This record gives sequence, C-alpha cells and structure tokens, in this order.
Amino acid sequence: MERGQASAIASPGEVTDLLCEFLEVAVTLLLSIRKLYPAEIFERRRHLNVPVQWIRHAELRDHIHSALTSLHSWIQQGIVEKVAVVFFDSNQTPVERFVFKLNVNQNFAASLPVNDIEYSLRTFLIKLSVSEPLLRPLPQDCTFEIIAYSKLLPGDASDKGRLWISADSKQWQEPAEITPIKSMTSDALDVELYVEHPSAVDQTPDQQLRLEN
Amino acid sequence: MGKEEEEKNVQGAIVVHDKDDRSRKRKLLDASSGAAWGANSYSVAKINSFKESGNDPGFDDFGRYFAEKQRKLREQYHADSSSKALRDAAAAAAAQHSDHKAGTSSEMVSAKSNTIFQGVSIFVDGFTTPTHQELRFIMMNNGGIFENYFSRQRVTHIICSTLPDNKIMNPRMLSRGLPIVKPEWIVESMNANKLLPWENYQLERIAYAHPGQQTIAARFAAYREVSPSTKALVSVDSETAFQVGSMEGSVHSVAKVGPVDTLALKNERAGKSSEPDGFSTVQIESQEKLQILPENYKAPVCLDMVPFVPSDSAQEKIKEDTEADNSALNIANDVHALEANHLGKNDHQKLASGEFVNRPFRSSLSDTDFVKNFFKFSRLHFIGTWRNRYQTLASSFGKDGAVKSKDRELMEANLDGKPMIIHLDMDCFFVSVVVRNRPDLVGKPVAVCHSDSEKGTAEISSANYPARSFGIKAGMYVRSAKALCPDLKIVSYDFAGYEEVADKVYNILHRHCTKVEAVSCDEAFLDVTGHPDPIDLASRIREEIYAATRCSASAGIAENLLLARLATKRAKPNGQFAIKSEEVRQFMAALPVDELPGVGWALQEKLHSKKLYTCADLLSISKETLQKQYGTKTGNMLWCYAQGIDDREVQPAQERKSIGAEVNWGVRFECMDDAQKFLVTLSNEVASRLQSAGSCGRTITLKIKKRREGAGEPAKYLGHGICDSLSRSETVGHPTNSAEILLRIGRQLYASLHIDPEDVRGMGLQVSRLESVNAGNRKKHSALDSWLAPPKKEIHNRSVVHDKEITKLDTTLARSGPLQKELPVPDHALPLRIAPLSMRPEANEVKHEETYESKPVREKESEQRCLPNTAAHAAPSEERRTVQQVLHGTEHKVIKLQTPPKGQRQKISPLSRKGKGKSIANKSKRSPLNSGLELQPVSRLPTHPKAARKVSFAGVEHGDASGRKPVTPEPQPVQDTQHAYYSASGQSVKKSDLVDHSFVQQILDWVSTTNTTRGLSSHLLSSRCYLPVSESADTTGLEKLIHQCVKLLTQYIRTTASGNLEEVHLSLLYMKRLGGRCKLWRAVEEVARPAFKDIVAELYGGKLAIS
Repeated sequence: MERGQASAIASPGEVTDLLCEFLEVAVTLLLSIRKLYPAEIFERRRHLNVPVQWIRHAELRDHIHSALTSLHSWIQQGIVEKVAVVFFDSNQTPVERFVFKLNVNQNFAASLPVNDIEYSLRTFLIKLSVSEPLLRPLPQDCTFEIIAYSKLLPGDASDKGRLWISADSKQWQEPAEITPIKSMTSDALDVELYVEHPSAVDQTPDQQLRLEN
Repeated sequence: MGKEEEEKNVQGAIVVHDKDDRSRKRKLLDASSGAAWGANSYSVAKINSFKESGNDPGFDDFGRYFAEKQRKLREQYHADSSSKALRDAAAAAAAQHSDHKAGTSSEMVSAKSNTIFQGVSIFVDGFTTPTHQELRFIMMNNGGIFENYFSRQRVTHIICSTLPDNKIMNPRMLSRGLPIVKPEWIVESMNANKLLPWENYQLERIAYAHPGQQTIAARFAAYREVSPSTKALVSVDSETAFQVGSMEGSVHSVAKVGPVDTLALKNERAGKSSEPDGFSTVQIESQEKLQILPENYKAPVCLDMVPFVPSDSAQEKIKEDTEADNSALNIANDVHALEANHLGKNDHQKLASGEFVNRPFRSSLSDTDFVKNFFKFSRLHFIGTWRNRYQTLASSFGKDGAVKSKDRELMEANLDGKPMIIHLDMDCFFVSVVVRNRPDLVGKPVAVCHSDSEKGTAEISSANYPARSFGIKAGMYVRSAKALCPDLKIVSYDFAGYEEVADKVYNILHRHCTKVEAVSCDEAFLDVTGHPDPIDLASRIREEIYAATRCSASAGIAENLLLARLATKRAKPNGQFAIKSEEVRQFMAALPVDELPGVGWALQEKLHSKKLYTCADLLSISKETLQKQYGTKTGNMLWCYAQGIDDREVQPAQERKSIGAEVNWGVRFECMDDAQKFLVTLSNEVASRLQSAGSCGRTITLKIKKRREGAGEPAKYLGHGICDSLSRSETVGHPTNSAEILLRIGRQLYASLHIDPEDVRGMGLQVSRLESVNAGNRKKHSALDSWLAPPKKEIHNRSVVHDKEITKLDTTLARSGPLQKELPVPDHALPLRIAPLSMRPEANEVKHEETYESKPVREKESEQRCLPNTAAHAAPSEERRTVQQVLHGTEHKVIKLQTPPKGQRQKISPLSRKGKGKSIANKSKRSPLNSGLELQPVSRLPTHPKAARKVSFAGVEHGDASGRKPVTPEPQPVQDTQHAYYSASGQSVKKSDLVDHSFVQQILDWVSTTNTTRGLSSHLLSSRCYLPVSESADTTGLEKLIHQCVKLLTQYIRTTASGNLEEVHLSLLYMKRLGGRCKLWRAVEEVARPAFKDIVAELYGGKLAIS
C-alpha cells in the first residue's frame, strides 16, 4: 500500500488509517496468540516489517476488518476512548480483556512523520507477539468480542457505523488486575495496550503471596 | 537361419538379462516414485515373483493375472509374427488403410531381410499416426517387438506424438531414461530400409525443454539402436568383442554391445583425438560406458566401474576409453562444479595440456582417488579457485618488478587526497587469452566453450567482440550461437594461459598500486587515491598489460567502486573512461536501472513495472518509499547507487576464512566402510590443501547431504537429488592441518550424525578458524594449556536445512579456549550492565563512570580512595562494609563535583530554554514517541510538550533566584504539599523543605529530566543504587526523606500514568529491584507502591499487577 512519500508528516487521516490498520493486525495477532482458533487458519505475514499472524479464513478476516475500519471516523473524531478485545468462556463470563487505549489528538495530528508512528506501532506488535508468558491459558470454547468504548454516542451512524450495537456484556465484580503490555505517547497519538484479568478470584495462593511481598 | 530362431535368441537374451538383473530391477522399481505408465511397475515386479514361484496356475492376485496376460500377449505376438499367412493378410488389411502403408507393406513383404527393427521394442503411448495397430504390424514384420504394456526392461523406445504437460516436465520419470520418439521414426526407418538414428525423431517438446537431460537418455539408448545394426558384424570381430566383454566382466555386453561399430568410430576419430575437446567424437564411447551401468549398479543406483584389465589387443581401446571417461567426467563436472566450491591447488594445467590420468570412470566406491579426480577436471573449479591462488600469491606480486614504481611512491606520499578508484577489466578475457596465440583468429568471431559438438548443446562461456556483434552472449547454446553466426569459431579453454596472463596482469597492477582488490582473475579495483593523474596511470597500466600479455584491458576511473565499474562498461572494449565528480549526477541520471550492480532481472522487472527506468526516476521517489517497496537493504542500495554513492572500499586480498572440500556428486556408499574410506580421502585432500595454503585450523565441520526421506533417484545423473543438508562441527584445542586429526574428528562427527551410508549423497569437510602455521607454532604453549585445561570441545547444534536453502554453517559458537576467560561476575552485582551512559546529565556521569566499571576493579579503587573513611562506618559483615564504603566514596565525590557543573548548567540551560523552549512549546515539536526503544539521544533539556505534563519539574530544576514560575499551569489539581515542591524555586526547596540529601536530589533530578523518550524507569534501570543510608541516621530524618521521595515519585507517576501505564509498571519493578539492594530504596518502594497502585486504579479502574 502506497502511503504517500515517506518521512512525510502524517495527515490526521493518515494517522487514523495507520491506527485502524494496526488495530486490525493487532486484534488478529491476539486471536492467534490466545489460540482461539486452530493454528491452521493463520499464516505468517509481514506488517510494518514485523512478522505477524494473519487470518486465512475469509469471513473471520472480514469480520475483524469491517469492525475496525468502521471505527475509523469515530477514532478520528476522538470519540473512541478504548477498543477492547474481550475473551469469554463458555458461560459468557469474561476471562480476559485486552484494552487498546487510544487518544488521538486532533490538534497535533499533523506533527508526526508517518515513519515514527509506524516505528512505535511496530514495537506493539513485537511486544504483543511475545506476551504469551504474561497470560494464562484460556479455557476451552472461548469466544471473543470487540468492544469500543466511546465518550459519547456517535451521532453519525453512517452505514458502517450501524453495525455497532451498544455492548451488554458481563463485567467483573472486583476491579480487574492490569498488566501493561506496551504504551506509546506522542503529541498526535497515545496508544496503550494492557491486559485485564479478573482479580483474586482465580489467582493461585502463590501469586497472592508474591503480591504481598 | 530361420527368423523364428533369431527371435528366440533375442527373447532368450532378454530373459537372461532379466534374471541377471532381477534384484536390481526390483530396487529400481521401488525407488521410482512416479507411476509412469499405469500399474506396470507393480505388475513387472509380480512377473518376477511369478517366475520364481514356478507355474502356479491360480490367479490369486492381480500381479499373477497380469503377468499371465502379458505372457499370453507376447506369445500371441510371436505367433502372429511367425505366421506368414497372417502377415500377408495383415498387409492386405494395412493396404486398405492407406496407400502409403500399402506401398511399404508390399515392399516389406518382398524384402528378404526384414529385420530392420531387430532389438527394438516399442511401446506406443496415446494417439499416433500411423495408428497403434499399424505400428504393431510394422514391428511384427520387421523383427521388432511391440509391447502392449510399458516395462522398463523390455521396451527400448517409447513412441508417441503428444504428451501431456506433466509428463513433459519430467520425462525421465515417465520414460526412465528411455528415448521418447515420434512414430515417424518407424515409418521412415522402414522406408529407408534401415534403422535411422532416433535422435532426430525425438519428441520436439522434450528435446527443447530438456536439452541437458537428453544426453543421458541418449547414452542409454544410442547403444541399443547401434547394436542391432551391427550385430552381423559381431562374428567378424568376435574376438575383440569377447575381449571387451571379458574386460567388463559382463555377459550382457557381449550379447548386446556392438564393439565393431564403436571401434570403427574410434578409428575414424583417431585423427581427431588429439583435439582436447572431444565431446562429440567421444560421445559414443561414453554412451558405451554408460550403458554398462546397470551391470554395475550396486546400491539403488551406484555407479561402479570394474577396472580395466590391460590386454595387448585392447590397449588402444583402453587408452581411448579412459580418455572418453575423462571427457565425460569433465563434462559432468562442468555441470556440477558449481556445487563444488572448493579451495585448493589447481591441476588445470595438466588438464589443459591433455595429461589425462589413466583411470576409469569415477565412482566414490572403488576409485580411491575419486576426490582428487573430481576436482581435477572442472572449468568452474578453476575460476572458483583462482582467487585462492591469488591470495597465496598476492604477497609475491609486484615484488619481482624490483623497482618500486613511481606511482606507488606518489600515492604513498599523498594519502589523504580525493578518493580515486580505477576499475580494470580485461576484454573478453577467456577468449583473448586463447586468441593471442592464434593469429589466424584475430578479428574473427570466436567463443570459448567446453565443447564444439554438432548438437550444440554446450553453453558458451565467453565470446569476443566480433562475435558479440552478432548478438552472441555468454550462456548461449552453441547451436543458437551458430545460427546467429555460422562462421563462429569455438575454442576450448586454456587454463594454463589464463593463469599465466592473470599472474602477469596482477603483477603489473601491484607494481603500480598497493591497494588492489581482485574481483576475479580478469577484473580488479585499484585504489589510486592521491595519485595526481589517474587517467594517465590507467592508460599506462593498460599499455603495459597489452605489451606483456597481448590482451587488451579496459579501465574506468571514478571516485568510488560503483562509478568506476560503470565507467568501465562505458569504456569497453579496449578503452578507458573517467567520470569526474562534477559529472557524476549527470552520468547517473541517464543510466538505466538495470545497469546498476545488484539489479538483476527480477528487480528490474519490478522497477519497470513501477515505471522506473533510469536512475533519475529512482531519485524522484524517496528513499523510504524505495525501502518500503524493495526492502530496507535493497532500497538503500538503490537509493545510494542511483546517486552514485558507494561507500565500499577497495579491499586488498583478504584472509581465507576456511578451507575445505566438498563432493556432492557421484557419492554413493554401500556400507559404513565405504563412507569411512571416503572420509579418509576427503581428509587427505583437505589436509593437503591446508598444508599447501600454509595454514591450520581449529574448527572442523562435516557437511553431509542426506537423501531426503522418500526422495527418488535424482533427475540429474548421479546427482544428489533432494537432500537434507546436515552439518556438525567440532573445535579442537590446537590448530591442526594433519590428515589424521581431521580424519579422527571427521569420523566422530560422522558417527554422531547416525546416517545410513546408503543415504549419503554428498560429503564435505571444512576447516575454519584458520591460523597460519607459524602462528600455530608460536602458540605452542597455549596448546599445552588447553591440554591441561578441562576439555572444552563442544559439539554444535546440528542444523538441518532444506537443500534449496543455503546451508549456514557458521553457527559455531565455540569458545576459543583458554584465552577467553571471562571475568568472574560478582554475585552481588546487579544484572544490569548495559546502560546508555551518554544520556546522563553531567553531574551523574561522574558517578556512573564509576558505577559501571567492572566490579572488582571498582571495588579496589574505591577501597583505596575511601580508606580514611573506613573507620567511621562500623558494619556487621565484611562484604557489607565494602559495599558501603564504595557507595560512600562515590557519594563524596558526587558532592564535591556537583557544584561546578551545576553552575554551568544554570548558565546554559535558561538560555537554551528561552531560545528553544518556547518555540518548542509553540510548535510543540518534540522528539516523538515513547516507543520504549531508547535509540534517540536525549537532550539534557526536558524537551517538553504536551505542555500539560512535565513542565512543573523543570521549574524545580531551573527555577532561578528570581523565583520564576513555570510557564504553563499545573494540569491537574495536586495536593498542596506536593505542589509546593514544584512551584517553589529550586533553591528554597533545597534549603527549607527538601532534605538536603543527594538521594532526594537524585530523584528530583531524574523526575525533572524525564521526557517522552526517557522516563523515570530508564533512570532507574540504568542506575545501580549507589546511595547508602547510614544506619545511624535518626529515624525521623529518614522518614522525612522517604516521604519526600515518594511524593516526588507519585507526582511524576500521576502525570505520566494517564498515558503511559507501562512506564508506571516498569518504574515500580525497577524500584523493587533496587529495593533488593538498598534499604532506602526498599523503604521508598514500600511506600510508593500502594500510592502508585491507587493512581492506576483511579485512572484505569483496575489493580496494577506486579509479578
């Protein structure tokens, strides 16, 4: 994909483009890391020069693609605060939430070279692909959901936006336990990625002990 | 003699043959993976079992049934062919089909000796004209055999008009080496009333698609067609035949070889045989040799020639046979030498002068000198090994000139001049060297090629300019070249000449210039930096070369290697061209991209598809785009080259990294012994190469090509086929070049691979980590040490790489033995040793320099330095004491040194803040992202930004006496006490509120100097806790200290956390780590952790997990 002259300053639209593309890849990578689907449906591809997993199954790919590209305009307007990928067990209880916290600053959007953004996003992908040790294995028969947290109800329900419904998923009783994975801050764009697990409920005594220390 | 009888003979011969080869046949069939023509292989195998088990009438399985069916069909066929009445009737029937057929059949009926096709057994595949039936009929009437079902043993020719693509792609698999011929061959042979050579009737698509493959098939098949026609002559010269037969120890060859015919050919050739290139003339010989192959198959396919028994009458034959063998070997080697990139002595002179070693066709089995011979007859081996020869001779070059040339002096006198490179390239080296001794060829189109056969399937290796004007290029087939230029004269290599000329050329080059990089035997770069007139120098060198060698050279002169090479292209032939630095841009702009080195066909296509044709086009797009499109390296290369930038330097002869030998062709073992014997020869070869190079090495690598599971016999004759490449290496303590040690290690390595010897398809032994022999002597004592030291031998990871990939061998991570002793790591040292020192504020640098020195040294030094203080600190344990002293010592130093830089800083930083700070804030340009990879150098200033965040810290650091307040207001409401730290002027804070302790100072320093690329965590990471808390300090003071630190830290975290959870997490982790080393830090961390967590909970609604 030709993304304009490199080292050029990214226009606000381009920043969002990059972000959406990144989210799409990252969500896909997450699915592969969490082994929600058999490994055969993934293939190795390269995004931003980093090896990532890409889905071969056309419908699943389209689902993720449409979900995230339809967020484009909302992200650009700064409405979307967080995008979360939530894994549910067979009882529809969330077991794990990966949260992408986004902050697109419109005023500064024009100040960043595309390369720098790509450079930072790349570290997310690398970090994500080696984040498995931080995570506990998921139970059988998990499902996933992509949730976008918005600051206000998006007014323009363009045709793509209509695909979204207000979320109605179970939440944890206790505050979640946060494990940060990667953060980047810049004028134009803050992205944070962390993973939330239900706290204390299913923790082993050993882990609790260590926390006390 | 009745026809029937004769046919019986033929049949009998075939049966005998079958019996002889039964075991081998089955192996062959098992090995063949593709089912070529139906289930024949299965059925044939069953035929044999049927024969063995006697006449069991029941058809209890398909194989039996099928064998019986075939037998019946054959009987019918013979019955048919022997029945004259039937034949006549059939002829009549055929006459009805076509006039043409009628003519031939009547002719045939009338012919007395209708044995044209004797010995020919055809199998017809698919639709043909004339039809299946007609062909059967023709064969029947002319002594041939028609097979209904394909069998590798019975069929001699496959007849078909068309073939599907997949069969075309792999004709060998389908035909198992049998010729695939058009039906016209049968018809026209019959018309001519003799067996015509089938080569001309090969199926076109196969002939063109597989020019290389065809020769092998031809070798197998040609004899079959020769023998019947010469059968009558066997009796005439049966004695010779017998001798030949006995020599080869083969009943089969007596039965089938027509030696008279080949002998005749030989005699015919006798006049010609002095010509070194005897490919075509010798070919029949080779065929004869090769067709005997089956007799000598041992392993699945294992070529092993029985050595010739010299006998008087066969003397001539033996001589010529060996010659033929050698030429065959030579040809084969040309194909395979590419795989064999080897080092070593050149024996090409022998080859060139025709001194062939009298030795039968190679075999890794019985031929003990197989390895030596393998390397003896290769053209590419010459080119490949020329560089090594050059390296060994490089030092002697230029010296025999006695007088040091003026040019060298000039350059030595002026070493810092503008860089200037001469690229010198001999004009069509391989041709001109040959032509220089043949005045008759001057000015005529000449090409060098290993063979001038009529078939013209040899590839041209080099052509001179007259020839090139016809469009002849290297790599072209002789056939097509001759089509372009019928007068083209083909000459063969003159290896001795090449060596002689190359030596002379390099001698001249070295005389004029000290820095010579040999690209190959005919191409070199000269670094003539500092020479006042390189153009003149180039022309003088060229003149000298021409005078000495009668070969012309072209030269390009420019400021770097790339331009010089491009200039040479422009200069050719026999000229020179200089690119001045001011012309570079112009020159490059017009240059087509495909002329850039590194731009091959594929890349060129890609570029053209983007409408990039010239270097100017390349420059019109950005480097980053190029890199994105074509990869970082290629993009960079394109971008630089397009501008004429090339920062490579002329590299004089480099040291060799490894010496070894590898044979990947013709290697077939039967048992462990064979492999061991081969290892012996291989290690001898490598040892002799090492010795001749005057070096010895320590790492010995054994490379094995192992037949991949399920891979059949390779398409390439005796090639290695589909293989896995395995390699193992071992390092010995003492550099060696002895064959014994090599063999011993080689055997160990081989044994450790656990390979079935029958699966070995190639073997190589390589010695790396070379040292010169003299160096080895000098280090004798260290060798002794290594004996005394515990063994450090390591067997390295075994790497299995697919054959198509390049085998990477240098994964050896062996320790270099006794010399590399790592410093003992102190057990109490933090495992953080790498830290970006340069990024530290000045005041800290002093500390850090000390902190990062290796522990033992540091301890000693500081101990000495701090001696006076020792008494002051009573400590429980010895170790504890040392640490404290150290820490204390540094602290003192810090305090001492802190003042002057501080003053400096105050002078400088406000200025720069005024100058830049505001503009930075306005444009809000800051070094971009906190990506976590701290590659960018951090400026001393808090380049600050999201104004909201960190400005307040700057207030503390840089607040001057006037009490200037921070420019930007606090973003978040902070508790008053905290706020006080930051809003007050630095001095007042120090004096009143802040404990005047370097610890707090340090934290303040860090907190205030953080920015987006370098947060607190990186300070914590790079800092080893150096601050002691003297146990004697009063508790209230300590508490206050901790309290203040935590406040500073939480303030920092609060501002950071909203955008950078990672930073919070890392800071906590690092603090915890520091806490393990330092009580104060532990105390701080204990207080800070809940505070941090609270902040995170506030902002993220979750607990921060700390593992």
